[in-house]
Amino acid sequence: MDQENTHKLNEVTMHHCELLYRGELTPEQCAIAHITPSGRLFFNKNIRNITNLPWDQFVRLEKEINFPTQDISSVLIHWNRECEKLNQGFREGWRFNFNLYLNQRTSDMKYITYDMNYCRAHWLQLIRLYRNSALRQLDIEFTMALEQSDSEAVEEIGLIKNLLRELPKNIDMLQYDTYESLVTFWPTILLPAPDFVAPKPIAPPRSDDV
Amino acid sequence: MTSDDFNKNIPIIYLVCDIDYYNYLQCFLYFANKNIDDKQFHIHFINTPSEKIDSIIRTYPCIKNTTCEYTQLNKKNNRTALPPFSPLRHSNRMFVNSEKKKFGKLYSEKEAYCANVRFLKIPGILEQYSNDIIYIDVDNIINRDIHILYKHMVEYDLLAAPCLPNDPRLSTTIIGIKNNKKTRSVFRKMSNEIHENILDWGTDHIVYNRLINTNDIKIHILPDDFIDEEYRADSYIWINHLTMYGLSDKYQDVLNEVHLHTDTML
Repeated sequence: MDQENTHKLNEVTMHHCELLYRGELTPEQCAIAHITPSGRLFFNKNIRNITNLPWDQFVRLEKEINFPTQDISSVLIHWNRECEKLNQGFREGWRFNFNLYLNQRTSDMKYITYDMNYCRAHWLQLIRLYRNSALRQLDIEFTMALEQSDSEAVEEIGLIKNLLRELPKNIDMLQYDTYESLVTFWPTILLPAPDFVAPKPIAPPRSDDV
Repeated sequence: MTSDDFNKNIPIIYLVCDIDYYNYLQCFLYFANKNIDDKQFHIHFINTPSEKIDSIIRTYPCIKNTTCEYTQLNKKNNRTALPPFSPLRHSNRMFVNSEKKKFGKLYSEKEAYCANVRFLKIPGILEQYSNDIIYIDVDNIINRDIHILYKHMVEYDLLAAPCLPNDPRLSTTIIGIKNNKKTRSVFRKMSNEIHENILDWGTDHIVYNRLINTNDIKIHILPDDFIDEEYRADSYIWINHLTMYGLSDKYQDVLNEVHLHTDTML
């Protein structure tokens, strides 16, 4: 990790240490995030029974105990606020937000963000799973139509199966460049969407006169 | 029949019906006749034998004029709907029974044509009569007198219902059109655009919503409970989306209620 990013992690850790020292945060609300060279995050939330060490020293020590020989950086964060609302399904795509500057931080800026490349691939994989399930369902219908010698149904189901097979390559995942846009997307051919797909935001009601 | 047969003081209720929807038309007229005091209909038939048209005119004298076209239409389900519609027909919120829906179906050219053709005929009707027009899908059921629409039409160019509560998109299931220069021009444009993609399911909805919102049309949005799919006692129109989702359990109940030999309708 380069010096600038290491400095940012230290800054964030110190910031949270200060909050802990002032009693504005409790150990139960915090977690230590370990950052692997590839950017993946591992969390230690079990930091309640802390020694008498100052917090920043504790974070360093914790890293040495868990990852003694690896280039793993660590940072102390406010777990409850940062992570509780994150999508657990994308946990492997959580990344520390190095674009964040502590002194310019606003309330809506997060320490943890999503790696959109990972999330897009993961979402497409979910779509494939559901697509495969639909294809299996259609196979049953196809067989039934064959048994009933319903040639029109056979033809129609064949067309639908082709649409489903072509589905993943016809989706332009790159257009979903934010977490919010990604999790509201679900291919219309696979509707109704499963529960984990976020509902699309409803536009404000129209006024009577346009 | 001529335009003189129409009462100039009340709007014309305009319906479109093809032979496969004839029985639903009977159901529609049964309830419209029962629940609307002042009414007059213009019905555009598609591929419907003249004896059937004559028969329904005899039963319902409030049908003041009819037109009919005979067109060869492919009934094979081999077409997808235009986005943002689902390419296939299926719904997670309707009480579908007749289709015994499993995965969904494609659309046919015939279904798309019958849905889109309503907009092709509207400009002609607006020009033929001086009356305002209320278009309603024939797979709907008139549950209460829609006289309230007649009053709104004095003030507004267009009466429309949202597709879903709080949805900015307007449904094409019911449209009240004031007969004036502005609406005649917009619906003429609409007709021309829809004509280009007449065999694609969804064209009517897409073009209607775009042109209505980009032209200077004074719209009154009907309240969310004016139309509903749940058949509430206080709503005015019960809608069914027959082509898209098949016959709903509740619509089937209504059919049973009027003893229309429902087994022959599927």
